Amino acid sequence: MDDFLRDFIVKKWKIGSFTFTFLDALLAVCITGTGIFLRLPVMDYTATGPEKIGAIVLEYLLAVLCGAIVHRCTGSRNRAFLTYTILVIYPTIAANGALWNVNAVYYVILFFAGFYLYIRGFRVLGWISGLAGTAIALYRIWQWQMALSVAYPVSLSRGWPNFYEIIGKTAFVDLFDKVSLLVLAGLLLTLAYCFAKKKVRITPDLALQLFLFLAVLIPYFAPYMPAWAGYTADIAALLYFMRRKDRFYLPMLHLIVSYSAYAYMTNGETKLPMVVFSVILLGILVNVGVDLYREAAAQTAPAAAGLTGTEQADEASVRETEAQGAKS
Amino acid sequence: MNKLTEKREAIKFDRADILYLAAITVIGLAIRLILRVVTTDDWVMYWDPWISDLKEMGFSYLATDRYDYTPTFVYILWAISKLPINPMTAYKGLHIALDFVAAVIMGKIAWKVTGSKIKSIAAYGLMLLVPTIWANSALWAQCDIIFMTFLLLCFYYFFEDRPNLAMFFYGMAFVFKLQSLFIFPFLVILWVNKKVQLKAFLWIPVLYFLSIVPAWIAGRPLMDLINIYMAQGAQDVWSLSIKWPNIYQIIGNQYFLLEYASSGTWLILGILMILMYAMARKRYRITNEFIVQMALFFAILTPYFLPHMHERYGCVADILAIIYALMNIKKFYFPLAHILISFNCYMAYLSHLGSDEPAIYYGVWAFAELGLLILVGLDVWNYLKNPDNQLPDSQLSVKEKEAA
Repeated sequence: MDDFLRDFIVKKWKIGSFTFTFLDALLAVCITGTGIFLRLPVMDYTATGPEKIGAIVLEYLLAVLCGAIVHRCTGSRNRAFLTYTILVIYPTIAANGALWNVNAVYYVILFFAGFYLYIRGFRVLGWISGLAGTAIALYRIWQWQMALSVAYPVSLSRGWPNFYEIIGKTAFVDLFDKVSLLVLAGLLLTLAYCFAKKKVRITPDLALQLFLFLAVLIPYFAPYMPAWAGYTADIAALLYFMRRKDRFYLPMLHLIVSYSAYAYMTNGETKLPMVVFSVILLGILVNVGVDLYREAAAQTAPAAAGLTGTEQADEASVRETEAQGAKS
Repeated sequence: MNKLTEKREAIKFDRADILYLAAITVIGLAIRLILRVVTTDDWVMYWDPWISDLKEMGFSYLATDRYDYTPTFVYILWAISKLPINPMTAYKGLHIALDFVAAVIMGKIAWKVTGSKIKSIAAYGLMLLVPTIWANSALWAQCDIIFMTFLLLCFYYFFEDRPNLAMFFYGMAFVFKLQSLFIFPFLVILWVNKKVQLKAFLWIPVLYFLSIVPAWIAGRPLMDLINIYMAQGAQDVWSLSIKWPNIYQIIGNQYFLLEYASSGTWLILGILMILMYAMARKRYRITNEFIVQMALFFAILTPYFLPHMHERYGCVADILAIIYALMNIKKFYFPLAHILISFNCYMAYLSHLGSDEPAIYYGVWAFAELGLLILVGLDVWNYLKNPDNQLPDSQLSVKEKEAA
């Protein structure tokens, strides 16, 4: 009997082209249930209505979608399944909808759907989805600001531990809110210019790194970012870890920062000063930025990009460093 | 070919370059236009009354001792006082225009040292986005961009292997700000290594003297004008560090004010003497990167030990760190960290923190600055220790030849 059960749990089942074991099915069912039971005790904190229920359903869909993205990027069924299981019980996702009723998933899912469509080759659809997500996100944040503007002091950060936690978030608020957007626009423009001029080939790996980089960069410098501004980066960091195991610390750290921001808003305090989380985020931003630079350099076609000799030498040196790193 | 003498062709722009340059220029300008409305204490307490007096008294104001900046800066204020527009707009407009000039020079430096058009154009764009640059001129109404522009020109002409012109621009920088002296020791090392002639150093006193002549003619005593930097140094002595994260933010900046002010100055002079002695004992190959490395090292080191350093005194290191990263992308963290440190100090002043500590204590920033100092110091050390960079001593060679 024991052997039968041992064999049974690892026996492969096949439905069409899809194979799975009993253990897979067991975890899938149990984790899905766990996700629900995880949310139930905290749902009373805010009013539960159709929007919250819809958000929870979408959170599950988002987990499936992210599993599909990981499968697409890595080709590994196990990692894709693991992504689903982790995201179903991911603290910031669960707390965002069930506990806090913010329901950011309504627009975040559009970012990831856009990303998935993009790497599947449906680039226009991908962009449309991403832009639709951005429009909804801006509307939701604006709506939230309107509701809070009386109750909260004027500050450049509305809960997200970004750059302004370091330099001071209450000085020149009405000027820095515009200036920071312009600086951000300038940085993105410079990034786009360099990518375009160097004719960087956007592979799924590079797209994932770029996605994560932007998900960390934009809320780090944009003004009035709410505590859940790291929602997209939380998930993107997990996907990045599924692609690169040596970056295991990125989703861990980002999740800690993100949930601490939630805690600051819900509890009114955190055990560590918020500025510590800002410094951690800066570290994450630099780490992902360096990875992006290396990947972009590897995806540059020097001759095709019409680079000068020095630029080609630069690219060659980056590739050489990469190769040495891979060897070691 | 020696990197120092390598000539580059002029940059040829295509449509994408022009589009980017136009867009980033508009962004840079928009940032500054938004910030131009801020009236800071420096404007209210110094520049505005000075300009008002200049309007009232004309050039004879220069005979008075009401200003403690060099006369060259006051000539600019005099010119502003003659303009039929709002003085603050004119003042900030001039410095904003210089931001763009400095960005162009930064782009040219990038082109010179990397030969990469993309890096050159991006350097121009990024220079316009650097917070310590736009905050200095457009927000704070400070004038550091003037001497920084001249310093950038100084480096550009060193890279062009035109040391005489480079020293002229260094002299111009000195005419405007004493902070240009932070990096002076690197010029001595260049002289030791035959990259600059001693006579080129004459630009510094000559230009300074020429700059004070009109004020002297106006009636201010010559000794007063010669000692203007000394008088400047005697002010703001209420703290050993005026919000700059240096050694005094670690050991305490409110104790032994008079004693440490004097001892600290002698200490940094001693440190610089030892360093110059160590670096002058041998001859080295002088590359562009080594020039920047040395200048950056001294730009961080000197204000780290000098007492009474202000929030803005990291600005020279800010721009040098950018050039250093342009030359060696692996050093990207230098401008990132240094500008963050520098901008934090700006904000500590501009947010009226007074004696309160910022979110991250000055002591922590001081350790970060020390870390950067050590890292660039190690870069210099490794360069000097590399046998490929050491040239045979000329006297020793003669003796060896005689012995042979």
